[in-house]
Amino acid sequence: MNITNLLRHISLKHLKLQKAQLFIALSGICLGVAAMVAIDIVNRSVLRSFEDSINHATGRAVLQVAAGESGFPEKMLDVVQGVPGVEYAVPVIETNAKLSGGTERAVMILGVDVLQDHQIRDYSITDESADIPDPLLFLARSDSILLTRSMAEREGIKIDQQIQVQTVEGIKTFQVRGLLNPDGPARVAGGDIAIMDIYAAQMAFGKEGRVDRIDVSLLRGEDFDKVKERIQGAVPEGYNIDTPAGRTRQVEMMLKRFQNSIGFVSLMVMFVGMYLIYNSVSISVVHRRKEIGIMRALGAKRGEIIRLFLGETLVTSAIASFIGVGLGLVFARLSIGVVAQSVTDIYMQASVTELAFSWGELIRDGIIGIIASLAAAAFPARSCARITPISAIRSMPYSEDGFLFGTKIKIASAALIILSFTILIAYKMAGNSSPLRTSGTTFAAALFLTVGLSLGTPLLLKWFLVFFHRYISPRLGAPGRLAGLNLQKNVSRNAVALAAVFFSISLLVSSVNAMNSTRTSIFEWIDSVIRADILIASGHPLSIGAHGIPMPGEMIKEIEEVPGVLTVEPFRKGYIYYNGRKVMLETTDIAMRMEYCPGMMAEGTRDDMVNLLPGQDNVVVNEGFATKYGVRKGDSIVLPTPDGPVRFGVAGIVVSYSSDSGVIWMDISTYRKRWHDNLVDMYEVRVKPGQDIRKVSGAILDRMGGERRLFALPALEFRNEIRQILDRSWAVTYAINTIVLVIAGFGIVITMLASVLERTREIGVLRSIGMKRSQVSGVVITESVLIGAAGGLLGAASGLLVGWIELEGFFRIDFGASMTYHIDYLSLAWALLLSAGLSALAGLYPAHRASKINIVEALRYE
Amino acid sequence: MNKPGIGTCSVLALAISLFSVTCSHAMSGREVYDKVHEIRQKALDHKLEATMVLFDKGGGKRSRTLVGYGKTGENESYKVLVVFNTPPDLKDVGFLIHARSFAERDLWAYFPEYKRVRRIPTTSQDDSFFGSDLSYDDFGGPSNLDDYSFKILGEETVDAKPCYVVEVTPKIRRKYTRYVAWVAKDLWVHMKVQYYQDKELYREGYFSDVRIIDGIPTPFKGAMENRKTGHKTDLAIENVQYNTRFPDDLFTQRSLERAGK
Amino acid sequence: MIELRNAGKMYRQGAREIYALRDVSLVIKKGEFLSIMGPSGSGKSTLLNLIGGLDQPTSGEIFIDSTPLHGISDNELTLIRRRNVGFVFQFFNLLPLLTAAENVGLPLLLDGESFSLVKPKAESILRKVGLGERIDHRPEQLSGGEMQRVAIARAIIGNPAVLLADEPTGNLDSHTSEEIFLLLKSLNEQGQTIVMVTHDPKAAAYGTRIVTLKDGTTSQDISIGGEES
Repeated sequence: MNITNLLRHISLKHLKLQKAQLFIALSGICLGVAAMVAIDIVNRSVLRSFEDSINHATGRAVLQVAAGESGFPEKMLDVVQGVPGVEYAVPVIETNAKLSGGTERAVMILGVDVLQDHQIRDYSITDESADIPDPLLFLARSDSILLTRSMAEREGIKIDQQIQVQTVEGIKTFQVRGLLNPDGPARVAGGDIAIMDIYAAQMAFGKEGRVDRIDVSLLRGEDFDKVKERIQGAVPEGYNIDTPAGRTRQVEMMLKRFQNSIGFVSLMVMFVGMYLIYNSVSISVVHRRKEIGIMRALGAKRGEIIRLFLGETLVTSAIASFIGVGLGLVFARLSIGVVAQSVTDIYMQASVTELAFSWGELIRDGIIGIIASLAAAAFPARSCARITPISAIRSMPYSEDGFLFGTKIKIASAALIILSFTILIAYKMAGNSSPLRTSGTTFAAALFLTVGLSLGTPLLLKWFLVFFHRYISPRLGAPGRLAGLNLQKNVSRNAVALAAVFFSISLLVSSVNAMNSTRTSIFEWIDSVIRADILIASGHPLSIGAHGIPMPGEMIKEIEEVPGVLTVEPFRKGYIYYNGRKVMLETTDIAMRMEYCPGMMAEGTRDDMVNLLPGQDNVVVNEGFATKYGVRKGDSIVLPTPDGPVRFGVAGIVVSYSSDSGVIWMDISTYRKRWHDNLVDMYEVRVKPGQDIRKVSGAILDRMGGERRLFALPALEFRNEIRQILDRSWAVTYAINTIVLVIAGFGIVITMLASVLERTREIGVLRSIGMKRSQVSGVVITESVLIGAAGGLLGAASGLLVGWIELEGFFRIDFGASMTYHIDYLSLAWALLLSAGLSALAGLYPAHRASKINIVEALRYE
Repeated sequence: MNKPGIGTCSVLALAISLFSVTCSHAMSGREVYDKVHEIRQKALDHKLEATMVLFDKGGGKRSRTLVGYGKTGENESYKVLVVFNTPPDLKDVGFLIHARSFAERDLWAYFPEYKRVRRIPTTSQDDSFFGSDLSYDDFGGPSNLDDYSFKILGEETVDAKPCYVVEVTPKIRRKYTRYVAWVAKDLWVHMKVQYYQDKELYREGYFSDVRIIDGIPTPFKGAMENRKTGHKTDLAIENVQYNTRFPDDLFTQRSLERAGK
Repeated sequence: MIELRNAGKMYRQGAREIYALRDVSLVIKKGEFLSIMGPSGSGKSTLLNLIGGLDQPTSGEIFIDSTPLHGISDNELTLIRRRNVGFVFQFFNLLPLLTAAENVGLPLLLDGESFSLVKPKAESILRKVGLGERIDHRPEQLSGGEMQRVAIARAIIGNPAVLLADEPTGNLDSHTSEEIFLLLKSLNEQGQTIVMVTHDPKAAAYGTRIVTLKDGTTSQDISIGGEES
C-alpha cells in the first residue's frame, strides 16, 4: 500500500481539523528543538568569541610560557629563544585597564615587542590596515599607545590625542600614536584592546625587566612535544608551558558547568516535548480507533497503520523541528546578551559580537527533534496493531485499557526505579576518585527515576483513584463520582496526561530546589566571607579577577590612616597551575579574616588557620579541591612559584565557592614572599563602631582618588549585587522551567479535549437523562483537576528527590559536601497549586465544549 | 616613503655619486646597476645633515633633522650611524648598522627614554614595520645585486636628463614585487623610482637637484609618496661630505647611546 | 466459491469456554445471495466475520475461491480482505472526514492507486447506486440510506468475490431499507455474490438462499424455492 496516499487523504484532513491540538502537541518538540539550537548557538558563540580572542592574541604562537600572575624576568626570553627548535620567542605583557572617561570601558592592554611581534601576530595584511603616521615616534616615546579604529571611533579619540587610562599603577596618560584596523590582535575582546611596545608597557605597569608571557613559534618540522619538553627543561620549575588551545580548553572547562546546567534543562524540555507527542499520538490512536478498525476491515495491514501514524508524526515533527530551528536562532539572539553578561560576571570578559553556528549542528538538532518525536510516537502507534477489524463493527465508547497497562510496562517501570536507586547507592558508596563520581552518573539516576515513574503513572493513577473514591469523592456529589469513574475507565490515556504534569512539576521542583540549595549555600557563604563594611577596588569590586585592575600593596597604610577606619584587610586572588590545571589562589590576612569572619571550616580548626598560615608555607584548600585531588588535612601539595616549586602543608579544609576548579587559601604574607607580588585586588575595610560607613568611604576616596580611580562599595550593596548576578545566571533556567510548565498545561488541555470529543455521545446521553450543563462542566473540570493533583503530588515528591540528585551531581561534586540541600517549601506549595490550578484552567475549554454539546446531534450519529 | 627609515634609506640612496662613465655599447640592466652600485659604495664614506618632512593624508606635517655618518671597510663591509636632532621627542634617537657584506648586516636602534639599545632582528628587516610604509630595507645600505634580476625597459628623459629605465625584480619576494627605476645616464643615480605590488603601483619617488660633491653625484632633494596611504615624505640634504674616514669607535653601541658624541 | 468446513469459534472468558460458532460447514456458490438469520447471540455476526476474514476460526477451515482463510498471517488475511471481500456494516462505518467519493475509493487507495485514477471509478459506482449528486458530500451531510449506499459502493469498488452485509438496514426506516435491499438484489442479479446477516425474515427473503443459525450452528438451510438440506 501507499502510505503517501493515506497521508494525503486521511492524515491531512485530521491535521486540518485538529489544528489547535496539533499545534499544542508540536509546540513541545518545536520548543525543545529551539532550546537545543539556542543553547548550541550560544555556547558556540561564546566559545568562539573566546577562541577568536585567544587565536588573534596568540597568532602563530603554538606554545606560551607563563609563570604566576606577576610575571617573570625578561632574561628568560633569551633562554627560550636559545632552545633548539624555537623559531621566535616574543615577550608579552597583558594587563587589564579601563578608560578613564568616555564609556569607562574595560580595555585589554597588550605589550609586545613591536619590532619583532609581526613574526607571531598579524597586525596587517595591507598597507592600510594600520594608520601610524610616525612609527619612529611611537617607538621612541614610552607614552605611546595604539588603539583599534573601532574603539577610537566609539570613544571619539583621534591620533596624537592624549587619553587617560586606569591601570595597576593608577591613572596613566598615553598618547595615541596610531590606529589599528581589525586584524589579528586588534580583534581581541571585540576591539577593546590597546597595543604598546613591551618596554613602554614595562614602565607603565611597574614591570621593569619582567614579562608576563613568552609566546613561542616553532621552526618548521620541529616536533611539538620535544620542543615543549626542551623548553620545560630550560626554564626553572614552576613555569607553565601551555598551548593556546590549552587556554581555550580552560575557558571551555570553566563554562562547562554553565552549559551543563542549561543543557540539562533543554534535555528536559525535549522530554516534555516527547511526552506531548506521545500523549497526542496516544489520544489520536484512541480517538481514531474506529477509523483504524474500518481501514483494517477494508484491508489495511497492521504495519501500514503503524506507518501511517509514524508518517504523520514524521511530517508534522519535521515542520515543527524546522520552525524550532528558526525559533532557536531567535532565542539565541535574544539570550546571547544575558548569557555573555553572566559569563562576564562570573568567569571572564566575554564580548560576543556575532552568533556562531554550524549548519551541521542545526540539522542535527532538527533531526533529534524528529527522532525524538518518532520515538515518542512509536509506542502508541504500535498499539494500533492491537485494534481488531471487528472493533469497527462493534461500537464501543471506550477502548480497552491496552498498551500502557501491560505487565511489561510495569516491569520496566519497576526496573528503572530500582536501577535508579541502585545507581544512587553505588554513587554514594563510591570513593571520591571513583569513575562513578561524575555528573553523568547522577544524571542517569535522575533520568531513570523520572522515566520509571512516568511509566508507572497508570498504576499510580489507579491507586490515587482508589484513595479518591474512598475518601474524597463521597463529598463531591454526582459530578465528582462521575469524574472519578471516567478517569478510571481510561486510566492509560489519562495516565499520559498525568505523566506530562508529573514530569514538568518534577522538573520545576527539582531545579528550584537544587538552585535554592546552591543559592542558599552560596549566599550563606558570601555573608560569612564578606564581613567588611566597605570594599575598595579600582574597578567595580565584582570585576576583580575577571577584568580587574589590582592596586599596590602599599596603599594599605594610607587607607589605615583615614579617620574612622578600624582595620584594612588586603585580598589578592589569581589562578595558578596545580597538576597542569588552573586552580584559584586566594590570599588575605588570614589572622584578621579569622577574627571577623565566621568562615566555615570543613576540616581543621580556626586556631590552626591563625597559627599555621601566616608567614609559613601552609595553605588550606576548599572541599572541591580536596575532593578533586584527593587531598586531606595534614597532606602537603607542591605549588609552582616564580622561584620554582614549593611544598606547602595543608592545614585544613574550608568551605569556599569562589571557583569550581578548586580554591587554595594562603596568607598574603606567604604569597608575597613566594610570588614577589605586592599587588592587591581588593581592600576590605571595617570601620570603627559608631562611624558612618558612607562618610568613611567618602574620606577614603578623597584621600586616594587623586592618583587613581577607586570604587568604595558598602559591603551590603556588594552582597546584594552578587545575589542579583547569581539570580541572573539562573534566569535562563527559570524561563525554560516556565516554558515546560506551560507545555504541560497544554498536555492537559489536549487530553481533556480529546476525552470530551470522544464522549460526545455519552455526554449527550447524560444530558438527555437530565444532567445540567454546569454538572457536565463540573465533571470535566474535576477530572482535569484530579489529573493535575495526582501529577502534582507525584511530581513534587519525585522533584524533591531529583533536586537532591542534581545538587549531588552538579554542585556538590565540585563544591563539596558543605553544600546542603535546602528544601524550598514554598516551591512545593506552588507546584501543587500550579498543577491543580493549571489543570483546572486546562479543563475550562473542554468543559465549555462539553456543556455546549447538542443532545440531539450527539445521539443521532457518532 | 614617509617613515623614519627614510632618513637612513634616503641618506644612503642619495649619498651616491660617481664620475660618469660613457659607454658606447648598449648596456644591460645589470651593467647599469653595477654602476649605480659602485657610486653607492663610494658614497658610503660620508657625513651628512638633512631635513625630513612627513606629510600625512590629512595634511599633517612633521619635520625632523638628522645627522648621518658612514664608513666603508674591508670587502663589502660598511658601518652607518644615524642620529636624530629634532623634534625634541626624537632627540638622540639613533640607528646603527654594521654590515659584514651587502647581504649580511646587523641593525640596532637606540631610544634615550628607555636607555636601551634594541637589536632589530635580521629576519625582520625585509618586512615592513608594523604595517607601515617603513621597510627595514630602508635602514640598510646597498643591496647585494645577486639577489635581484634586472631588465632594461628602454630609455626616457627625466628632468631633462636622459635615463635608462630598468626593471628590478627581487629574487625573494619583498614588500614590493618589483620596482622600475629611471637611472640617469652618466650620473648613475635614481631620478625616479616606482615600486609595484604585483600590478599595482604603491609608492613612487622623485629625486632632483643632483650636485657633484667630491666627485660623487648627489641628489639634494627627494620625495617619496605612498599611493595607498596618501603619505608623503620630502627629504632635503643641507650638507654632505664624502671621504670622511671616521674612526671605528664612532660606530659602536656606546657611541649610539651617546648620539655619536 | 466460499467453503466452510467444520468451522468453529471459541472465546475464553476466564476459565470458561464460550462457543460462538461450532462445526459450521457451508458452501456458498458464486452468484448466490445468502441470507443468514437467527436470534441475537446465535453466531450470525461471528460467521460473517469469519467469512470476511475479520476474524479467524479456532477450529475448522474456510476457503474463498480455494484460498484458505485459516492458519495464515494477519497480513495475508488483510490482503484477502482488501482484494476479495466487500463489507457493509449496520452503522455504515464511513470515515467522517472523507467525502463520499473518497470513502468509496478507500480500498483502492489502500492498494496504492492514485486518487486521480480512483476518483472516476468511485464516481461511476456512486452513480450506479444512485448518488451521482452526492459525490463530494461528507457523511454528516448524507441521510442514513445514502450513507449505506456509499458503504455498498465502497464494498463493491474492488470487484470483491463476496459482498458481506451485517444488518445493513438495522439503522434505517422500512422504506429506505427496501431501497437498500432492492439495490443489493440488483447487484446480485448482475452476478455479485452476497452474504447478508439479518434477523428480519422479510429482509432475508430478498436472498436466493436462507441459512438459519441457532446456538452457534446451522439449524436450517433453505434455497428460495423450498429446498431444505
